[in-house]
Amino acid sequence: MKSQGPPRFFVYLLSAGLLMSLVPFANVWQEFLRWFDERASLTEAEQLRTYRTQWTNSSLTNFVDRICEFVPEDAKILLTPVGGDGLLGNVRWHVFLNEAIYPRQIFVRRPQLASGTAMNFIPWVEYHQTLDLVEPKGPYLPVTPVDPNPGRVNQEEELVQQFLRDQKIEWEIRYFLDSREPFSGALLLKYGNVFRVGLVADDV
Amino acid sequence: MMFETGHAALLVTALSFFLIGHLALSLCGPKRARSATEWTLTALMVGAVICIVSSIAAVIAFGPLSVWTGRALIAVPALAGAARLFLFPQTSFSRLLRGSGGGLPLQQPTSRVDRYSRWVLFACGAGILFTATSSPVHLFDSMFHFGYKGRVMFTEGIGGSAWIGVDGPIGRIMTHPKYPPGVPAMEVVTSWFLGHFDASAASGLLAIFALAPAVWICSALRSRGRFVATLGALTWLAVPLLYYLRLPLGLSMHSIYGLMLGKDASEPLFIKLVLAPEFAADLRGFELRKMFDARWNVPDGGGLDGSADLPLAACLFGAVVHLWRALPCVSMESDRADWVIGTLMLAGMLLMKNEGAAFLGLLAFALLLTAITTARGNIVPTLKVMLPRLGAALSIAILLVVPWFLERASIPSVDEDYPNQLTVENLVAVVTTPLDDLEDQRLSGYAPVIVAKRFVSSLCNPLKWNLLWVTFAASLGWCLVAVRRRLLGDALLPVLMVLLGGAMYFTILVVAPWDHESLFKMGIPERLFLHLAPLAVLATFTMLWGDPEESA
Repeated sequence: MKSQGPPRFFVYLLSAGLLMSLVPFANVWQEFLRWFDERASLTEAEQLRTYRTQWTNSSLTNFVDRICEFVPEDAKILLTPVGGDGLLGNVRWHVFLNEAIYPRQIFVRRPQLASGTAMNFIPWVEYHQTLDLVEPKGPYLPVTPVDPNPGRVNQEEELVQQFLRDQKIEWEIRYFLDSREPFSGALLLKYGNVFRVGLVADDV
Repeated sequence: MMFETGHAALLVTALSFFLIGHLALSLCGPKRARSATEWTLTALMVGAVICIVSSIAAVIAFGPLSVWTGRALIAVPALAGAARLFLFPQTSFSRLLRGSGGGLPLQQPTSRVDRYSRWVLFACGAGILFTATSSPVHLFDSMFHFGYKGRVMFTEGIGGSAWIGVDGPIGRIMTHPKYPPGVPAMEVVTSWFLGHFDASAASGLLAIFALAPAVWICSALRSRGRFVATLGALTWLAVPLLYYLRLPLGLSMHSIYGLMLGKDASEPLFIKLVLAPEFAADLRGFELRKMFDARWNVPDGGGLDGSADLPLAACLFGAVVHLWRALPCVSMESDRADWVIGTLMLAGMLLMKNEGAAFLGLLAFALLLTAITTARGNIVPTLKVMLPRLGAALSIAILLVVPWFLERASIPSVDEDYPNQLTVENLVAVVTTPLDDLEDQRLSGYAPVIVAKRFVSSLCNPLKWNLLWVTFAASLGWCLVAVRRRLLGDALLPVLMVLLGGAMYFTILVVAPWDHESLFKMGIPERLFLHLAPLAVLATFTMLWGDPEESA
């Protein structure tokens, strides 16, 4: 029932492939040793901190800890980027924060750009640069448009303000797009109260 | 970390998958002999797909389930499976445990080579299990495309403001909201047993999706000899991309050449040495120690990182290999259970990634083409047998995922939307308009040429694929010399699927709205070709070893 084998060339090719499979297995062995030496005794959260990814950046995780301290779990938060050099790194901190502070719900302007790919990140930030954010004084967040097409932005911002009122969104985070220290100078706002997260809490 | 509650939840979930899968398989009245290993991993796959389908349907119908409701949803059929396993000793698995099943190389090693290969297979399985369970979910796609969806599904259900509110002037954030929630559902099922959501608790389950294709390859090649079957399974399990996307040592082939030559090398060293022997002088600066002193970096992904590429590959392969057995031209045993498994794998494929829907169409086309091509004058009778079976499999698979597709229709599209990019205008534009990249000349030129070059350089990279694609290409070339004798048999369907899948990805990448540099940095096309890798293994071995009847 057995079939005829292939030419010898293919046997050599398959054998060479098997020999090269030592590389992934050496990697697994190396990973095992490293896990045994460094990670086996750590909890999942401690392990995650050992990975030097952008979303385990200590600046971000400290900020998340502070937000979780101040903001209740059922809160809805408006997230607003207000400039900075973050475009250079093209790092989507808003996506990381959205996941990290869940079940607190984050809302953003132009969510289709914020949810999109890295290609959509720059237009999302640029849109926010057309907004003239003023210091909050009332329960909700006044925004003055400075877009070359002010009518459109005005209309859109009216919808945003209406949505904020309808959904009873009382919190806002304003942050600078710092590619290295995300959220280091961020402001947490509620009903006109401003908390400088990570520093001190003051009243406006 | 040695043993957290997450691991207990993982074990309970895996046991539930097995028991549910065992129940489903044994109710199908399996006739064909299966080894205990094949039965176990197939049951795990079948159970996983049933749990994914039912949990998604339940969450869509009733909203987020409480932990106890979720546990009951899984535990009740699992207990029925346990009753079937222990109270009815005549069930297939019990018979198989007593050794009456068909033979995997693991069961009855007869020669020294068989014994060695048995240990190598065990080592591979252990490596896969370790890789899948040792790291918490920590990469971008697995955390934000899948883990976050699981978190939302666990807490808010599917289809709420988190999914549909990603449009308009203000709303919520969800990356790729139209991605099917197959992997998130698996995380939710595990989290029901855990009591709170934890995406990492389910990451060990991904080992099933790496090991199941190995036993299916073994089973499909078994009639060609024990050694061929073992070699096929090993070839799949040795694909580096299962373990990492880039070599964790921080060295790529390119950087190794660069290190060896002391400069940025654009051609392999041996070519330079042949074409320009003076480069050999540069080797004086080469320090071998540097290669080994480089820090062993954190794994940066691969098949077992918690994203959906490997599950899609396993479900696609499961669907192909079980429906393939039912083809009249294939020299395989088949039974009703194969048809059921194939149908369930089709449903699983649709729930893993959007590409699953495209593969459904490709598979239907390839099955019909294979049946017609190999019918040898009996086209009408062949189609009379094939069409009802294929139609039933496709219809049932689609019916199983209707709840998700209905929900998906209300989710706005915020990503690339590749199907809409496939227009005649776009295709004409990419063929007639060259791209100009001032920073990287390799990315300048016509898009089809850039993508083709990238395909070749990626697929020939042994640090990513070993020699899998080189062997596949060589085997295909060898078969094309005598198509009728070498290709028109068992090999035809897997070969067609690989070629059609590759052509589909090529076309999509050519019209992709992304700049190619960004795509290539994100593991494209490697992650796409992982979907086709187990099929390429099967295709290669069936081409090289031909159909058993021919030489019998």
